[in-house]
Amino acid sequence: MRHFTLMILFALFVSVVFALVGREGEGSRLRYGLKIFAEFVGVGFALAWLLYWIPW
Amino acid sequence: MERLNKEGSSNAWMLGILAWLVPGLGHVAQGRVIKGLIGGLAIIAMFATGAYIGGHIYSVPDTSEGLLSSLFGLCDVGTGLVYLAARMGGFALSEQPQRALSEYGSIFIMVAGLLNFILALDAFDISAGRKS
Repeated sequence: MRHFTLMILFALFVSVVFALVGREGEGSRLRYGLKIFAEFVGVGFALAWLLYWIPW
Repeated sequence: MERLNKEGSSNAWMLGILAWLVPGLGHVAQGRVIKGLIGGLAIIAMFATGAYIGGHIYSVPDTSEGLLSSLFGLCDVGTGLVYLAARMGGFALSEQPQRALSEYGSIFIMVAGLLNFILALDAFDISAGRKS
């Protein structure tokens, strides 16, 4: 299993539970869950890109 | 009225403990079946993924890897009976450093436990009337 797949799975599981707990109503939950998922993946990419330039 | 409050409070505690023992069961018992099933399945799937890629569970009293091991153990305990079943069944007990993703697996298992604590607290809050 690749690191990228694991990052996606991690973001998926955490955003599902956060969306269930953090919002009420299906539409609101779906939007909130997608937002958290995108944030996890986006921050993951940003950190990976930043760390790429650090030589140690 | 006070008796009713006490009954409600003890029900909330019972439901909270039930939700901690079996991920999602607290919400299912409240009639929020879909919410409980989705949350519980996500947590169990996260635990299973962690174990599948070589992660292992920690023990709370075991400090052989340092004091942080106990903290990691507390996180793992969050999955309730899933943790107990893994411990009693000898499943995901040993560290597998030869597997490249084993440390990620242990993190998955810990976060599954922490997520179940959050889900159980949510069930408790709903039952105690703090949340709708």
